[in-house]
Amino acid sequence: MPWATPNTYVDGQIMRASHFNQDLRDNFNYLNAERPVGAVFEPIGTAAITTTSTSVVLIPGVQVTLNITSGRVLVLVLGNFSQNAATAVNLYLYKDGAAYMALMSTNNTIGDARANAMFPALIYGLSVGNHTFDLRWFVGAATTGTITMDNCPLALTVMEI
Amino acid sequence: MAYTDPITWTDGDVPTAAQLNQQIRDNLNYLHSGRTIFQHLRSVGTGNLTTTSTSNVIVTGFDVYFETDISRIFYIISFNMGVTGGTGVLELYLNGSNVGVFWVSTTPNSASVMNQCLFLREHLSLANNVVHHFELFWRVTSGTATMYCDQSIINFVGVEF
Repeated sequence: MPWATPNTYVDGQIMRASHFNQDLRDNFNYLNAERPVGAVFEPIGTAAITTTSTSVVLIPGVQVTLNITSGRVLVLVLGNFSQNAATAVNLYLYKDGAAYMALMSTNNTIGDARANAMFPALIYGLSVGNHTFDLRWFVGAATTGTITMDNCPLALTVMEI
Repeated sequence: MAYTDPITWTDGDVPTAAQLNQQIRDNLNYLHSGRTIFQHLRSVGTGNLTTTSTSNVIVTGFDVYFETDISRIFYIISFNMGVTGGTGVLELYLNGSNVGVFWVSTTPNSASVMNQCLFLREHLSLANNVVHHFELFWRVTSGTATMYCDQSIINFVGVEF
């Protein structure tokens, strides 16, 4: 059962089974086990994702939408990033189409060097309803940024908390 | 609304509307979306931090007090750190006790590396509005350690659950 706004009771009110079933059965069941815990993007396959874009672009498919009722989510991003030149790979978390947080602007992994990275973000004050979260990136000129998928698949996890 | 300890009922009690609204409506709403979610603390700016101290010193900005309402906290720290000439040590203290240690070994050419720490603490004080003291220390065995905030901010996320 979905979350239902708890009843407001008044003195003298006759408590009906429907009140208890909604507030004491269904809502507690929802909080205990039925709340949607989140959405995860985890690509299938081992093909690397690359970009040469010098302006912010969506990492293809790395987008999740979650219906939020509590107003709060914990976001975790895990990936393995590298580039072939001494300019930065710039990684951003977007919320509902707008930049929410700069996750990384790194140029320490040059050549074939690879680095695993994980980034947490805590977002609250969200309105009730659907919210979309995605990852976008860009690189410096004459650079190819790579997300390696064969040893650490990219994952975007959004959990309602 | 804050969480209210559930009433211990006795035979013959006649629940008032105020009691029902507090025990059912307000506590349900608290569990659903009113719970303190703890904190998301980030380093400010893109200026790199360095230390040559061989004894623990606070990572600038990470000596904080957080209020919690329940006894379990899951926290995540991500940072980009490099060390030259020694080994870097990052330690998390909770209420004056060391609860986590992370070692960053010497990396060639002072390369910065994305690092992540995950910690789970339980059996904290079980009461509302308890304030806990979190301190993030670092030091080196020798040489210089650098937090590359220009490449990735320091993230400290704590979530009650």
